[in-house]
Amino acid sequence: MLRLLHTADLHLDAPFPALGERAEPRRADFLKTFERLVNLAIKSEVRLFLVAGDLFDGPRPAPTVVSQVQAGFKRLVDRGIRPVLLPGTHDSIVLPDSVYRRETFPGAVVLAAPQLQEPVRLEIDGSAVHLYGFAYAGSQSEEALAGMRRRTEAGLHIGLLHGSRIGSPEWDYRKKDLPFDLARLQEWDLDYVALGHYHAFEEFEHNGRCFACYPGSPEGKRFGENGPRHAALVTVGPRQARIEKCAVNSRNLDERELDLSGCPSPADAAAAVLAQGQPELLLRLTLTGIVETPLPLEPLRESCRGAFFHLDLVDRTRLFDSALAQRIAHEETVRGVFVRRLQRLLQEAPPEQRATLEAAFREVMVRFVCYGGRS
Amino acid sequence: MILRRIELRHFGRFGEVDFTFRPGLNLVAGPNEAGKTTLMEAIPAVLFGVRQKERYRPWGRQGSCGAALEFSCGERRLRIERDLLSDRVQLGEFAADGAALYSFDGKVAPLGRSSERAEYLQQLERLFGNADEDLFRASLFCGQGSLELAGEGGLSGRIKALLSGFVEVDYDRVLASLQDDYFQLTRSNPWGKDKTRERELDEVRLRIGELEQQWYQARTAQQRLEELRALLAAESAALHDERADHDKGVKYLDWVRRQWQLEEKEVALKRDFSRVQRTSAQVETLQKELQEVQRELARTGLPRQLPDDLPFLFADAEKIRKEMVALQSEAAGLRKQLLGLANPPWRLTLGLSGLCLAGGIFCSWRWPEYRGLALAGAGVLALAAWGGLAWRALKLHAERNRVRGQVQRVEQRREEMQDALEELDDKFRQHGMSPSAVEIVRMQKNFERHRQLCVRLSEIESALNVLDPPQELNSEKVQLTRELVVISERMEQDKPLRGAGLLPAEELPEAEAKLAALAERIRAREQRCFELARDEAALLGELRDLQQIEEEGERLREQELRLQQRRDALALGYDLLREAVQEFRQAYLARFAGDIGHYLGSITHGRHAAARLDDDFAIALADRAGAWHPLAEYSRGTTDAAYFAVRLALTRQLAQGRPLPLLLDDPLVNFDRARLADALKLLERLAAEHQVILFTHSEPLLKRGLRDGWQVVVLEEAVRPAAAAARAGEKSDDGQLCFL
Repeated sequence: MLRLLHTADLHLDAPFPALGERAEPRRADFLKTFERLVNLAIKSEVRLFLVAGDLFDGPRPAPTVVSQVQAGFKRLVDRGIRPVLLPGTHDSIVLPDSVYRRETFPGAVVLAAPQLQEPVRLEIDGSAVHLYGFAYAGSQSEEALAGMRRRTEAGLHIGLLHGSRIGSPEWDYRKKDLPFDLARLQEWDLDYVALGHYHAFEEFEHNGRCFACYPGSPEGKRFGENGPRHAALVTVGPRQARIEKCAVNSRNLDERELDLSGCPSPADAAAAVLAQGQPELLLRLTLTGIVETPLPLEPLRESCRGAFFHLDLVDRTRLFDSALAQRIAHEETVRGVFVRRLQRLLQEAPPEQRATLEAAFREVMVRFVCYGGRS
Repeated sequence: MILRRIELRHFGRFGEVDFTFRPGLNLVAGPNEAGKTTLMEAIPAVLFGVRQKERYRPWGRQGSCGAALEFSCGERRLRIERDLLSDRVQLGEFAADGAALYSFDGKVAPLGRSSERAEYLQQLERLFGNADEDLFRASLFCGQGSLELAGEGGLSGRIKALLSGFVEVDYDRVLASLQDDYFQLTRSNPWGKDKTRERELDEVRLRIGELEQQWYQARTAQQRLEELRALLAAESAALHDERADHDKGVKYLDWVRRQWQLEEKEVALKRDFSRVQRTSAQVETLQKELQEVQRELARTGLPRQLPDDLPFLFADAEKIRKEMVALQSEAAGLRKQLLGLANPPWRLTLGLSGLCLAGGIFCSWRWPEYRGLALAGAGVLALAAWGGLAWRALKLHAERNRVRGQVQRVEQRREEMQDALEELDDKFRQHGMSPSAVEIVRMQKNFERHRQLCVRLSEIESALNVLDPPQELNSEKVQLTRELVVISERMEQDKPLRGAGLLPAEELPEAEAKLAALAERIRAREQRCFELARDEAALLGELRDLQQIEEEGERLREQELRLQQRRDALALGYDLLREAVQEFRQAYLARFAGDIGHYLGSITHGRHAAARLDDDFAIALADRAGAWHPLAEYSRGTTDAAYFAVRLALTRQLAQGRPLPLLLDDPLVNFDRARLADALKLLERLAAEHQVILFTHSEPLLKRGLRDGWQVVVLEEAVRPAAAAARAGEKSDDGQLCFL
C-alpha cells in the first residue's frame, strides 16, 4: 500500500482583482495553504505529493512564489517524499517561457510531456510505481487521454489528470477541457487517478472501488468554493484506494442571503449586515427582501468593511414591491406618474426585463431619496 | 376635511389636554416655548409616528405618550389615535350615526414594512390623498417665516420639488444626475450627439475588443502552432524515412557496385589463374622434356658444350688407333720373327716390360704428379729385363739386331703413337670426356644425336626462359587462389543482401540518378523543416496565456454586463422619469395652474384669477386685462397671495383634490403691519374654503382673532385648563376659547 497526498488547483499567485487591497493578503493565504499541505504531507508520512495541475495561477508566477514552492518541495524531498507535478490549464506549458520550462523543481517529477508515451516509473520502498499523466497543451491534449490506459499488471499505477468530469455540477458553468467520465476511468483501469481542474471535492466510486478523486481547491479561489477546503490523503493498493479528506484552507468563503425586509433604514440594514460579520471571512451577501428605501450599496459596504476580510454585496432587494411604491402610484406627482408608467411597463415586460425596470426604479428613487435626505 | 380635535396624552410638555378646532380660521396663540410647535407636530406625529420615540415623552415621566386626532369629513367622522411609544394606532371611521365604517388597530412604526403599516398607510392615502409625511408636511405645513420666498426661482424650484413627489429634490436634478451617471458609463448618447471621450463601459468594451483580438491571435497562433508542429512532425518523419531510404539506397548501390567489381575481379582472377595454370603446365612439360633431353645428352657422353677441336681429336684418335693397330700387327710380325729366332725368354721379357710399362702408365695415370717417376721406373724395369735378354741374345745378336732394329723402330713408333694418344687423352680429359677408345667411338657415333639434342635443349631452355619460372608461377597461383577464395567468400557473405536479384550493372546509373533525386528531395525537405522550425519559433513569440486572457475577459464581461445593466437602468430611469414629467405636465399642469388661479382669484377678490406655469414652473399671472406678467413684476402682497395660492393648489394637488386643513406656524412673524393686514385678509378669505389653523405668539394677532371671532386657542390656558377657562370666561370647551 502506498500513501500519498493529492491536491490540485492551488492557484498560487492569483491576481484577485476584485479583492482590491485584500489581494496581497489573500495571495499570502494561498501560500500559507501550500505550506500547510507540505506540513500535512510530512506529518502524514506520505511517499508522494501529487499536484494535479494549476499549482500556479498563471504560467509566469512571481519568482518569490516559485522559490517558496521550490523550498517547500525541497523540504518534502529531504524527507523522502517525491513531489509529482502536472502542468494544468492555468500554468500550462504552451507558452515558451512557462514556469515549467524556465524553472526546475529538484527532486520533483514534472509530467511536462504533452503526450504520454510511457508512464514514469518510480521505485518506492522496493516496489514499482507507474505515474501516468500529460501536460495540458490545448486541443491536441484530448488525443492524449487515450494514453492513460494501464500498461502492465505489475506495480502500482497512478494517473494524474487535469480534466473536466462530464456531468459534474461545475460542467455547466466552467471550462470543459479534457472531458472524461467514470466509464473512461474504469476503462483506464489505473489503481488511482488524481484529478484536478474542477474545484469541488468529488470521489469516483463504483461497486465499492474508488477510481479517482477531485480534492477540490485547497483554498477557495472564488465564491462558490465555500467553507472548508480539502486535500486528499490517499492510500493506494492494487485496484483499490482509500481517501481521507483533510481540511487545509487558511480562510473561509461563504455566500449568504440576508432579507432586509425588516430593516427600514440604511442604518438598520448596515446593522443587519454587521451582525453577519466575521473578520476572517470572505462573504458574498445577497441582500433580498422588499425595502422601503433604496439601499445605497457603496456607503453600506464602506460601513461594514472592517467586519469582514472581504464583503461582496449583491443587491437583490425589491423596492418596487414596497409599500412606498404602492402608495406613490396613486399620487398626482411626477413620481406618481413615474411609478404608474413603470407599473404598466412591468406588466408588459418579459421577465428578463423586469430586473432592468426594477433597477431603473431604484436608480431614480435612490436619487430622490439621497438628494432629499429623507423620504 | 376639518380637523376637529387634537387630544394629547402626556405628549411633550402637555399632560392630558384636548384642543378643538372649527372650520374656518383657527388661531393657536401663545408665547414662545408655550408648545405651539409641539401641538402642530402632534398632527404628523399621530398620522405617521415619530422616529425618535423619546422626543415627545414628557420629562421624567414613565408610561404612555400618545395623541389622537379627530376629523370630520362631511357627515363622516374620523378618529386616529396613536401610542407614540408603542406605535399602536387605532383608526376609526364613523358614519353620522356613529356606526363604524372602518376601523384599524395595529402597530404602525414610522419605518418598517409590516402589512399593518401598509394597510394603515393605504387608509391614510384614501383619506388624505397621500400618505407621505414629507409631502404632508410640505403641503399642509407652513413653517415659521416660510412665506418669505427666495425669489421667483425659489418658488418654482419648490413647486418642482413638490410636484416631483419629493420635498427637497426636483426631478430636473434627478434627471441630470441620471444622465451624468449614464455618461459616466458610456459616451453613446441615445438623446443626442455622442460624447467624444471614452467612458467606463466604452473602455471596458475596447479592452474586451483588444482581449478578443489577443485571444484570437493567441488562439490562432496556438492552432497554427499545433498544425505546424504536426506538419513538422510529418516532415521530420518523412525526412527520417527518406534518409533511411537514401542510406539504404546508397548502401545497396555500393553493394551492387562492389558486387559487380567483385565479379569483374573474379573473372579477371580466374582468367589469370587459367593463364598461370596453362603456363605452369607448359613449363612442367618443357622441364620434363628438358630433363629427358639432358638425360639423353648425358647418355651421349658428350659434354653439353662440345669443344671446337673435337672432330680433330676424333680424327687424331682414329689415326692413332689405326696406326697403333698397324704398329701392333707390325710389332706382332716382328715378334713372331723374333720368336722365330728362338729367343723364348724375350717373350717373358717383353711381357715383363709390357707389364712395367702398363704399371708405369697406370701409375702415371693414377698419380700424374709421379708420372715421370713411374714411367722412369717402368722404363728401368723394362730395360733391366731387356738387359738380361740382351745378354742371352748376344748370340743371336746379329739376327736379332736387325729384327730388333725393326722392332725398335716399330716400338719407337708405337711409343710416339702412345704419346700422341696420351696427349689426346689428356685433351679429352681436359674436355671432361672419357679418353677411352670405346667411349670415343661411342661419342663419335652419338655426335650427331648430341647436336640435335643440344639444339632441342637450347630451344627448351629459351622457351623456359621466356616463361615465368615455376616458383613464381606457383606463388602467383597461390596468390590468385587466395584472392579467389577471398572474393568468393565476400560474394558469399553479401549473397543474403542480394534478395530478388542483383541490379543489372547497366541499370546502375539510372538507380544512381534516382538516388541523387532522393538526396535532392531530402535537401528540400530539410530546408522545409528548417523553415517550419523558424515559423514555429516566430509563433511561439506570438503565444499568450489564453487562460489569463479568458479570465480577464470573463471578468471584463461581467463588468460590462454590470455596466450595461446599470446603463440600461439609468437610461430607462431617465426616459421614464422624463416621460413622467411630460405626462405630468400634459395631464396635471393645466389643472394645477387652474387651481392656483382659482385660489388666487378667491384670495385676491378676483383681482388675479388666472395663473400660468411655464415648463420650468415659473409663474405668470394675468391682470384684469388678461395680459400675462411674471410674478416678479407684482407687489409683495400679490406675491404672498400667489404663494398661498400655490401652496393651496399644491396641497390640493397632493391631496388629490381634498381640501385639507392648512397649518401655519407663525408664517407672518416677520411681516410689517400693512403686509400683515393684507395677509390676514387673505387668510380670512382662504378660510372660507379651507380650514386654517394659524399658530402664533403675536398678541395683536390674538386680539385680532378674538375681535374677529376666530376660533382661538391660547396655549398657556390650554396647558393649564382651569386657568384658561377662567381667562376665557365663557364657552369653555376642554380648555379652548372659541370666538365666533
